[in-house]
Parts: sequence; C-alpha cells; structure tokens
Amino acid sequence: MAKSAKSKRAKKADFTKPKLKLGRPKPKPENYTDVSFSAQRIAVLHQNLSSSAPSQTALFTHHLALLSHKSDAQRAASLAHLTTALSSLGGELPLPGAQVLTKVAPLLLDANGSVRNNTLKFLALLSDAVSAGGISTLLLYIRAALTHLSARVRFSGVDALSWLLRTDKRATRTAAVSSSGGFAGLLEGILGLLGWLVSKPGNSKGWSSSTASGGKAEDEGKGRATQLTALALLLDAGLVDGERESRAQRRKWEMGVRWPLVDWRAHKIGGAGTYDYLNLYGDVGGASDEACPEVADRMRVYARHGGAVRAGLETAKREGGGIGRAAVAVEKVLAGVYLDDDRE
Amino acid sequence: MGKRKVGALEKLEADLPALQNKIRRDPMSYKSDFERQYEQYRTIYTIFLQNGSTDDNNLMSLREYIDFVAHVAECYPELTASFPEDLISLLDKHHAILEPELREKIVGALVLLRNKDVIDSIRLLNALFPILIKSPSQSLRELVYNKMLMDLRSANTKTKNHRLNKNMQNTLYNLITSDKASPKGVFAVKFTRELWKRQIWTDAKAVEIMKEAALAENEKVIGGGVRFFLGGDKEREELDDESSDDENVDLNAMRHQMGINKKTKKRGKDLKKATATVKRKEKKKNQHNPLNFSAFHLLHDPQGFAETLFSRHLQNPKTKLKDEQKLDVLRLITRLVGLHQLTLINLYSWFQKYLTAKQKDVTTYLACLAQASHNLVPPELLQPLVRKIADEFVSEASRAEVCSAGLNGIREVCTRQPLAMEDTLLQDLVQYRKSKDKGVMMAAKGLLSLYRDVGAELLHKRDRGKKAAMDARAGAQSLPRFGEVNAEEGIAGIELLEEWKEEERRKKREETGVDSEDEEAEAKRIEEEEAEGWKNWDVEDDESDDSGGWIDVPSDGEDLHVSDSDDDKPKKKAKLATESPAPPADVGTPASTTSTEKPRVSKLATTRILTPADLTKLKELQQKAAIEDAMPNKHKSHHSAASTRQPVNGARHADEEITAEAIEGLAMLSHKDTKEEKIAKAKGDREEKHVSSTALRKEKKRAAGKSSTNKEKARQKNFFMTLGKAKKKGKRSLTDVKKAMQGHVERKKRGGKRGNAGN
Repeated sequence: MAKSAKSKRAKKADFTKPKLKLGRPKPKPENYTDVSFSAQRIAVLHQNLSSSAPSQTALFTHHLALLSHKSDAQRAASLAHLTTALSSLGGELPLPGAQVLTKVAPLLLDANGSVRNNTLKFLALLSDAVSAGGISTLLLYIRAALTHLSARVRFSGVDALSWLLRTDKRATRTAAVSSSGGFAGLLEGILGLLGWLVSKPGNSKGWSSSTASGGKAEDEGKGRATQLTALALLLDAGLVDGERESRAQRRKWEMGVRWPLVDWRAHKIGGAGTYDYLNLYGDVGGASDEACPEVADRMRVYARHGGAVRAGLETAKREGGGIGRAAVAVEKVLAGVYLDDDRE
Repeated sequence: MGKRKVGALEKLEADLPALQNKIRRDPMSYKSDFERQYEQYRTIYTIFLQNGSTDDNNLMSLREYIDFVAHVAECYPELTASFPEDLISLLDKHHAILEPELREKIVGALVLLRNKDVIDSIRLLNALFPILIKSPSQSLRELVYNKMLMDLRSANTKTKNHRLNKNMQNTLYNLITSDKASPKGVFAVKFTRELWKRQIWTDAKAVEIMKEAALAENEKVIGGGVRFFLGGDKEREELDDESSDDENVDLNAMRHQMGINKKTKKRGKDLKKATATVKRKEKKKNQHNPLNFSAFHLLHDPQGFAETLFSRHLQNPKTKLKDEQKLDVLRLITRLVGLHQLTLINLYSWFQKYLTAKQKDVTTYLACLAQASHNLVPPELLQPLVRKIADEFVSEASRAEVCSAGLNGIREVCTRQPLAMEDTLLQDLVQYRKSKDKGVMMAAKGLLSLYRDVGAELLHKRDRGKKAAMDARAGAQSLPRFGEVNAEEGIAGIELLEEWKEEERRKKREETGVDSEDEEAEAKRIEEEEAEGWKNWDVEDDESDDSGGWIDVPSDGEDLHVSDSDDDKPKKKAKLATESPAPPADVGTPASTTSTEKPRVSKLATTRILTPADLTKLKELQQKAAIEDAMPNKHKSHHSAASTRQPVNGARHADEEITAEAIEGLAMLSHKDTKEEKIAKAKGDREEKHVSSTALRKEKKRAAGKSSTNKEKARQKNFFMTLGKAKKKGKRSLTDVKKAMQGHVERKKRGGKRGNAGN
C-alpha cells in the first residue's frame, strides 16, 4: 500500500481513462520552445576552429572556383579579388598558369560587362603566365569573342587580342599565331569585325553583299581604331616578327659557313606542332582552324584576304583621325612585309 | 543550375531567332552574318569538345547555336556541309555523358535537317539507330524511337520508300540475328510491329524479322515476335477501322448548312475539304488491295518455322519461358499447323501431358489442340487424345463445366478431323445429351449433330436422325476416308446467279409483254444485257458499294409470297409460268425443277463469259445465301440446295483462331453460383450502407497496411489487462527488481535491445 500522496496519485493514474479530444491539436504559440527532452550532453556539429587565417593560396583557389558562380556580382568580385591578390603577390601565380587560364578564359564571353572588364584587367597582370600550353584555350575563347553575336563581347575580344599580342615575350606571340587556328582564325575574326572579310568562294550566286552588315554602332570611332590596331598587331606578329627573326638568323649564317648546309630550313623537321595537320586529336577541321607554323603559311593565309585588306585600308585612311592613324599603322606593318617580299 | 536571366538590352543584341528570321527571308544578304555566327558555332563546338561543359553564364550556349544553324542550314548548303556530320559524331561519341537538354536538341536538329532535306532518311536512321541500341538513358531512347518512327512514317506517306524500308528492315534483321540472346532485339520487334500496324510495312521481309524474333533466345524478344503473329493483323484492322471512322463527314448536311447559313470563305473551304475527304475515302474503299496479306500467309517456310518453334520453346527442357509465354507459343504453332495444314507429329503426343482437368488454362490447350487438327492429320495421332479428353473430362463424376469443356473440345477436334472418333466412344459421349446440366447437354447435342452430318454410321441407328438414316439407306458413305479431298466443282454459288438471271429475264418479259417464243429476240436481248454489263460495270460497282452495308434478306412473309407466287399472279402470268417456254439451251433449267436431285453442274459458266456486273451480283447473292443459312428458323427455300454444299463448319473462317471461350462455350450455364455470388448479384451495384467518414478513413488506413496509433491502441485495450499490470507494479519481489535492473544494465552495455555489438 502506497502511503504518500504522490504514490497514490501515481497509482490512480493507471486507472484514469485518458481524456481523448477530438479534432486537431491547438496550434502552438509562436514563441513555443520544446523543453520536453532532457539530455546529458549536447553534441555540436563539427566546428572548424583554426588559429590562423586561410592562406593566400587557399583563398586564391577559392575565388578561382567562384568564377563559375551564377551571380554576376559574385563573379566580378572574385575577379577583382584575384586581381588584387595577384598584384600583391607580385604577378607570381600560386597555381599553374594553364589551370588559371582555363577558369578565366570563359569569362571573356561573359554576358556581364563588368565581369569582362575585370577579366581583361586580370589578364593584363597575367602576361607572364601565359604559356604555350594555355594559349590554345585562350585563343579559342578570343576567337569566340570576336565572332560573338553581342557587340560588347566583340569589343572585349578585340581588347583581349591586343593584350595577347602586345606581350613582351616573343614566344607567346609566336605561339599565338602559329598554333592551330591561331593566325587564320584571328585574322578572319578581326576582318569580319572590320567588314573586310571576303565571302568564301563557290557560292557566289545571287547578290554579293559589299561589306558585312556588322556595320553598327560598334564600328564607329574608337572601336574601329582599336580593331585596326589589333589588326596591325596581328599582322606584325604573324608576318613580320618571324620574318625579322629569320632574317637575323640568315645574316648570322651568311657570316658563317654556308656549304653544305644549303636550304637547311626547308629540310628541318619543325618543333612541337609539326604533325598538327594530321588532326590526330580529332580537331574539327576547317579553313580557319588550320595551323600556320611557318611565316610562309601565314603569308598564304593573308594572301587570301590581301585585296580586301588593301581596299579597306584605303577607305579607312581617308577617314582621318584615330581610324586613319590606325590604318596607317597597319599599312606600315604591311610595308615591312612587302619589303621582305620584294627582297626575295 | 537554372537558366540565367537575360537583360532586355542583351536580349536585343544577342537575338539569334531574329537573325534566323532575317536569314530565312533573304539568305544572300545576311550571308556574312551567318558566316560569322557559323564561325562562332564552330568555336563553341571546339570549346565544348575540349572542356565538355556548357557554361550557362554565356549568353549563347552550344544548344542555341545548334538550333540556329539547323534552322538555316538549308540556305547555305556549302558552308554547313560538315554540320550534320559534327552533330552525328558528337551524339555518337558522347551521347552517354551529354546533358539531356543538349542531347535532345541534337536529335531534334538532326530530324529538322532531315525534314529540310539537308540529309536523307537513311543517313538519319543510320545515325540514330546505334543511339537507340546503346543509350543507357530511357528518355533518350524513347525520344529517338519516336523520332525514327515519325521519320519512317513520313517517308512513306506519299509513296512507299522501298529503298529506305529495305535498308531499315535489313538493319533490324541483322540486329536480331546477330545476337540472339540480347534483349536489344526488342527494338526491332517494336518497330516492325508499329509499322505493320500502320500498313507501312506489309511485305514478307517484315514477317521474316518477326519470325527471327520468335526464334530468338531472349524472352522479351520471343514474346514480342509471338504476340505479333497472334495479334498483329487484328491490330492493323482495328487501326484501319478507327482511322476510317474518325473522319466521318456528312456531306449532305454540310451542303444543306451552306444553303442556309451565310457563305463564308471558311465554310467553303471546309466543304471543299470534306468533299475531298469523302472522295478519298470512296476511292480507298473501292481500291482493291490484294497485297495486304496477313502475316501468316507471308511466312516463308511455315513448316520449318513451326518445327523450330516447337523444338526450341516447347520441347526444350531448358527453355526459360514462363507458362503464359509457352501458351502463346503453343497458340502460334497450332495456328500455323491448322492454317497451313502442316504435319508436326511430335506435337500431338506432347499434348498428352497437358490434357488433364487440373491443368491450368486447360481450355486454351483444348482450343490449341482443336486448332492443330486438320483433315490431313493421321487419325491414329488424334484418337488417343480424344480418348484421353473423354476419360479425363467427360464423366458423370466430373463437374459440369469440365464435362462440357471436354465435350466441346472433342467436337472441335472432330469437326476438323472426323476420323479421330471411334464409334463406341462416340456412342457413349452422345448419351450425355440426356444430362440434366444444360451446358453438358448442349455440348453433347453439338457432337451428335456434327456426326449426323459427317459420319452417321458411327452413331446408333436410333440417333442418326431422319436425313442421315435416309442417306444411309441409299447407301451413301458419309464418313470420308483419310486424305480424301473434295475438289470444288465449278464456281461457288453460280446456280444462284443463274436463277437470279432467269428471274430477271422473266420479269422483263412480263413487263414488256413480249411473247418469248421468239428465240432470236431473246438471244438478242441477252446480248444487249451483257453489253450493258460490260459497259457500265464501273457504275454498278459503285452502286453495290453504296448499298454495301445492307444485303436484303427476304423476311419470312416475303419468302412465302415468292413460293406461292404462281397462284397469286394474274392469269396471264400464270399461263406464262405454266407454258414457260423451254429456256434457251445455254441457260439451263430453273433450279426449282431439280431441287430434289443432287446438285447439278451449272452450264452458265462454261457457256458465257461472266461480266463484272455478274461477278458483283454473284458475290452479293453468296452473302445473302450465307446469311439466310445462318438464320435460325429459315424456311427451306430453293436455296437449300446451295447451302448444303457449303462446308459444315463454314461459318468460321480458316484464318480465325479458336479461342478458349469457344471451348468453354455454354459452361456458364452449368455454373452454380455460390452464396456470396448470389448475394452480390442480388445486391447489384447498389450503394453500400452508410458508414461514417472516420470509419471509412480507418478502413482505408487498415487496407493500406498501416497500424493504428498508440493512442488508439490504448483506447481499445482490454480493461482487465491494464488492471493486472497495475496490480503487479506495486509488488515486485526484490529478485524481480534485481533481474529487471540487471537486464537494464546489460541492455545498456549491449546498446539496446537488439544490440549493436556485432556491427
């Protein structure tokens, strides 16, 4: 027999029929706190406590990953961060250049203007890091930007191209013009922008449009001048630069022994890109994708468009101002090329 | 990642659809724009090949460019020559890893290119077919299958594209024959079945594919092949009916409406369309399409097919087929045997095992056996089976349904091969017509009436019936000998035509009132008639088609009237009838004078060339006679002579299958309802009694296999159980308490009741 009131109550509880209520339970008040549980200890999920801030490299990698974030603002901010980080590091990349380039290059085609601008700023710091490995990727994106449907993206493409060809390193320039689709693709792209592209032969029935109808707002003023400057750079890198080098070499050889090494250059097996034309890696073939490792190849490519370029330059020169000056610059470059031609 | 929002300005600039529209209107002017965009496409394509990701942050993805180029590719064929190849190779190499949207876009673009005739159907199908076979994604397979089917259909709309069909059929055939065990053959089956149904493929090669499918080693493929033969033709007919039904237009009503309502351009167009539809339908109706054979008739070497099927799927002990599938195979084999009158000796002994009352689906087995018997099967093979059926099914002790099924089965077998029956057995079986059960009684009567027709001498004398007895007295042998074949003489129903002609002529004579003794005039008239029959046979054809649905069958009263006509007619006519001149020698005598004699050979066909009009009339008369025969209480009119010439079981077409229902027959009559069934029937589909919604909810919950809540359990707990526990709680002994505590400690150590020490 239980004695205390408490035990009596407990005993009684067994026999009381629970009062059953019909309907939904009353909604709990908003500030209701569930205190029905009791625990001896609380296990908190993993907490990362480190005494030091993340390293520069880690941050760099993190922001690099954020470059494919879906928000424009985030992408732009990350790029800005990367730019400052890189400048604080003194232009030395904490990661391999090719890896960085594959992440950054797609942003040349980004829909957002500020992202593209930031990309260009970042690329400007990268000049040294651009190696032959990453250049083919970069070239693809630049070409895509040059033929892009949006005019602003095309502008950025021209800027990127100028940046690439203005670099101090000759190796980079040579790689740019000699890799697959390099010279031909870029030339066609920029001529297309200028409206100087000759239609491909074989389908000349019907009307021929005199100039490409890309002639919109972008073609006026500074844009056109920039394009002409980029063209000058491209022609210089593709046709003159290499020639200059070879002329220097030739002179060196002329001073030394010539015989029996006559025409050794013609018999030489080239560098890395010798067998590119075999398309062993399943490149999509096409006229603009051909690799032009030698100056002669590039000359051949240029010859296809030579007439249109000369005609275009004539009109551009007449416009005067920035465009005229840029056109003259192009002509100067071409004059160098022709001089070489005449000499041979 | 969702699609990025594109701002209004950007949209304006980067508007591929707008460019596409401009290009379509004036391809030459926008050529340079297209060149630039094509260049862009190629660059993006290269980028895509290099890193394999589609970047959603770009304004334009590869998907959109593919769409764009595919839409305008026809305008610049030289520029985009490599475009289809690009797409095909991309799809072929990477279909497994491409993102679904892009994948679908590529397939869609290829189909678009095909529709614009940039690539041809063969190239498209050859590109898509490997994807269909290889792809692990079901949605892609479905898409590709549908697209391929659509293309095949559209390629065959105007005329049949034989080259394409042959190509595709060869591909499918190779698919099945190259690897018999693989389940990929299912696609071949699906294609063939669908195209057969739509009458796009109606040739022997399609049947050959299905034949190979039926002989494959994969169950699904086998099932598909077998079911095609069993149901493919029916499916085709049904679809045909449907398609002709859905465009039923009442032209007259429409014309009437045109007269009443205001005439608008639209209504006029509608009417024109409807007229065209009706005309097309008429044309289709009149079009005789002799090439639409059923799959069975297009089969090459049915004997070999049946033998292989039998040995591979039924006799083979290692076969993996399920029972239903085996049954399907059996149905197919027996239909082949029955239809082509094949000889498959082993089949009959194989049946022995399955003819027991306990066998599942035994009625189907009985139907199959009946199907497999024809009059070239040696009776020695069938006799033991018939006896077995009689032993197993037909006895006083067995249930009425079983008994009637057995009798029906026996009757169906004997209809096809009457020699399968022995006289003692038959006499026993016939006794069941006295059975109290209606189903058994009817079945036994069926058997009796069958043998009265085909082999009365096997019956007891008293069972033979009047006609058979008279025949027997006349010494006519009714049971045919094994292998005896009755060659058809003449043209079926020719005497009907002759009679009809005579009738017509007589009517005409009466109308004109010309004395018909003038034989020359008569002959002349016949000539004229014939010329008419040749001249406007087309018109007649149309007329008969118009009345196609209805064949006038004389009602009983009319029939009487005809038979008594001689008395009713005016005197002159009667006179004519009595002194009806000897008809022209080449026409022969009217049938009424010779009705009691054995059917004579009509000379009509040998002396006259039947005009097309005659032939259509002949067909009509045959149908009429058949319907009259089928009428339950027909008067024995003068057509009876013709009707007896028809085969006993002529009502059923040889191409039709015997089903289990035919065997079950009237068994439902002998089925006795159980109490529950009776109650259910009495209730009909009346509403159940009202139950509260809570109860319904609970019932639903219980039906779903969910248990009640703890609360509910507590509520329903027996009071006395709670009492005992409450009493016990207060007075546990110390040892009990210790045990409980120890148990608790133990459990805690173990980690719960089940314990997790093992893991």
